[in-house]
This record gives sequence, C-alpha cells and structure tokens, in this order.
Amino acid sequence: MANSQAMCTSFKNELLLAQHQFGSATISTRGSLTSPSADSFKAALYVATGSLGAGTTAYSATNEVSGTNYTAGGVAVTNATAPTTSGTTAFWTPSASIVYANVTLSTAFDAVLIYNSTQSNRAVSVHTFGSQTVTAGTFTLTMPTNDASNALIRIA
Amino acid sequence: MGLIYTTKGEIERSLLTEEVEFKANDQEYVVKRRLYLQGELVREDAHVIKKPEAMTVEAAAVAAALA
Repeated sequence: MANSQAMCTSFKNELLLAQHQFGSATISTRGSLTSPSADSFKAALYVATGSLGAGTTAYSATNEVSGTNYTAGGVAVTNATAPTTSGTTAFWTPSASIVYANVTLSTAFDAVLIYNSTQSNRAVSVHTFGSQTVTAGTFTLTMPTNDASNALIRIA
Repeated sequence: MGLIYTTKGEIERSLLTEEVEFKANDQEYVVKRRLYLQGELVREDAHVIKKPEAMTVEAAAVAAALA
C-alpha cells in the first residue's frame, strides 16, 4: 500500500459547506458559529451583450435584463438539498427549476448568474444558454440531475 | 380551458393558436411555445433544459500546484 496524493473528497464537500477558511475573510453572520444556517442564493439573467464569466466576482445590475415582472437581482434559488459527494466528486444543484413567471424580456439574454445573496452577493457560477426572448411568458431553467456526473456545480 | 396571461391581459386559452419549437444543441434543449391571437403574438415562453457542463474544479490541477 502506498500513499497517494489527492485532494480529499470530504474537503471538496466541505468547501461547498464553508467549513474551511484559509485566509481572513469577512462574512455576514449565519446566526450561529456552531450551528450556522445555509446562505440564500439568487439567479439573475443577463443580456447577450454582457461579459459575465470566470472573472465575475459578484452580482451587478450592469447588463442585467429588465422588463415587465422581472425584478432586478432575479429570483431566489431553491436550495433544499445540501452538497454531497459520490466517488471523489462533490456536487450541488438547486433543488427546483429556476422560474421567471409572466415576464416580458425583449432584449435577448443568454446567461444566468447564481450568486450568494447572504454573503454580499458574491458570485458562484455563470451558466450560458442559447439566446432567448420571452413575451408575457414564463422562462424556465430546468436543473440537471443532481449527481456526480450531471450536477450544476461539481468539484471533481 | 381557462385563462392565460398574455400581452393583452388574461385571455381564454381556447381562443389562442399554439406554436411549439424544439431546439437542441451541445449546451441545452430549448422548448419555445408561442401563442397567437388572430395571428398576433401575445405570449412566448422559453424552457431551457441544461445539459451537464464543465463546471468543475479539477482536483488534479490543484494537487499539482500544491506538490
């Protein structure tokens, strides 16, 4: 038997649970240091001419869509399922589709930003899709299966 | 069939003509539904079903950096 270099699977999951802190960082209170509550996450839509990506650090209204029944900042992400692991992968997926109901979004949009609205609107991930418009209708983003191969966020 | 929200307010669903478009590419499946009232578009829905994507942090790369 030999030792083998690896990032521990439990550590990947614990990153998603904020159970490690390697440097000083200011966070908003989670109610209790010993039994913290989960943060809240939101999903905002961005027009196709935006420039979101790996460099995005926080939610911004710049290039966010606007239109009837769309509220700046987007909608709450349903998070009823905590991150977990399978094999060597840690993963998390919102537990319900992201839905913008009865909106009119006339300017083409092609990205959604998932961000932490509890922790200073810090960015989590950007997901792109084919450019869309919606007229007095509902825009739905159906989430992938929450497993090690398909989850929306996977740390492999 | 009930009322449905449109650009002209709530309209009886049976008065509307429906058009459904299905698209698929490497990133997602998209279902677009358009409803017309006497030829005029009064509602357009979009339903995006994401396919798995490269949203991973590669542990191997991190481990190599730490080695």
